[in-house]
Amino acid sequence: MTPQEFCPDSTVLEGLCRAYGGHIRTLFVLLASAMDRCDELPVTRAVVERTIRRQAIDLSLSLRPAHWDALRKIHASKAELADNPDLWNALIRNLLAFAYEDESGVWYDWNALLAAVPGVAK
Amino acid sequence: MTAAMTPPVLLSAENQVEFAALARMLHLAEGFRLAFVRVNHASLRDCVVGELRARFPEKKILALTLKPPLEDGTVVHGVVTQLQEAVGGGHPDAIFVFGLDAMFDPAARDSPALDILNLNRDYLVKRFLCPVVFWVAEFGVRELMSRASDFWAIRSGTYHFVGETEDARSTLERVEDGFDWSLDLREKHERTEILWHVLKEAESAERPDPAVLAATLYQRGRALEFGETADGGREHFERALARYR
Repeated sequence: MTPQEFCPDSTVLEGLCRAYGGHIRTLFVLLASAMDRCDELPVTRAVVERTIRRQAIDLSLSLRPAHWDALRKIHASKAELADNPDLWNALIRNLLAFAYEDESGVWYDWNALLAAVPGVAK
Repeated sequence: MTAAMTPPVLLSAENQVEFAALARMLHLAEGFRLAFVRVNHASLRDCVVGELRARFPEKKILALTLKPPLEDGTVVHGVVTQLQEAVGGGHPDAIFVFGLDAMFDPAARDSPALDILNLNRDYLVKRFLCPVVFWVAEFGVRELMSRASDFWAIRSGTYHFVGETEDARSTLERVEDGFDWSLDLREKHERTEILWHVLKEAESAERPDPAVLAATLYQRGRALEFGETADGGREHFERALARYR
C-alpha cells in the first residue's frame, strides 16, 4: 500500500507524520487505528483526526499536573529536565518525551501526540 | 479493502464508531493482536460483548475473568498463566479478558502481577494466535501504561466506550453494594477510582442527570472518608447535597 492509497490528501499525511513524532511503533498504532475506523480505503481527514485525538487522549491518561508542567517546559526549552532526574527518566521511559538529533546536536521534546490532547495549547 | 460494520442502534453515536472499529478489527485480524477496550461500566461492557457475539456467531470467542491476587498482594496465578489455562489446547478466534484492573491495587506502589505481565509480553505474542482483548476501566489503563509500559507499547489498538445514565446507575448500584469499612483495601481503592471516572463521565454528559450526579458525589464522598483524606469527603457531600436540593 502506498501512502496515497492510504490517504491521497498530503496535508492529512503530513499531520500524521507530525503526530507520531518519529516513534515508528506509534505510527503503526495510528495507521491500524485509522484503518479500524473506516469501511474502506482511503481514510478520510475526519478519521485521521479522530484517531490522532483518541491516541493523544490515551497517552495523556496517566499524566498528573506535575507531568504536564514538566512536559510544557521540555517542549518550550527543547532541553532535558535537569532538575528532576526521576521525573525525566519516567517521562522518557513512558514515551512522553523523546530525544532527537540533527546537525545542531541533540535536543528534546514532548511526544508530539500530546499537542493533540483537547485543550492543550500548542 | 472493505469491511462495512453496522453498529447496533442502542449505542450512542460515539460508542457506535468504537463498536464498528472493534468489530472490524476482530473481523480482519489474522493472528495475534493486542487490544484494550476502555470502559468503566460492567453493564456497557456486557452489552458490547453481547453485540459482538451476536455479530460473529461463527467465531469462537473465549471470555476469561482473571482471578485477582490474594489480599496481601501475592500473585498465585499470573495473567499469562490464567490465559494459558483457559485456552488449553483450544483454538479460539478471539480472547476477551476481564478483571485486569483487579490484578493490582491502584494505591500501592508495587504491582507484581503487572510486572510479570510486562516481562511475558513476547511470550504472549507467540503463544496466542488470535486477538487478545483486555476490557479495562480507565484507571486500569492509566496504571497499565505506567506500570507495564512495554506491554502497553505492543498494543495494536484501543477502543473507548462512554457510559450513559443507565450505565452510571447500574455501576453505582454495584459500587454501593457492600461498600463499607470492612471492604479490603484494594477493593476500596478500585471502587474509589471507578466512582471518580463515573463522576467525570456524568459531569461531562450532554444532559447530566442530577440524581446520578448527586448519588455519585455522595458515594465518592464516602470513598474519600474511607481514604482518610484531609476534608474526609466533605466537599463531595456538600456538592451532593446541593444536587439533592
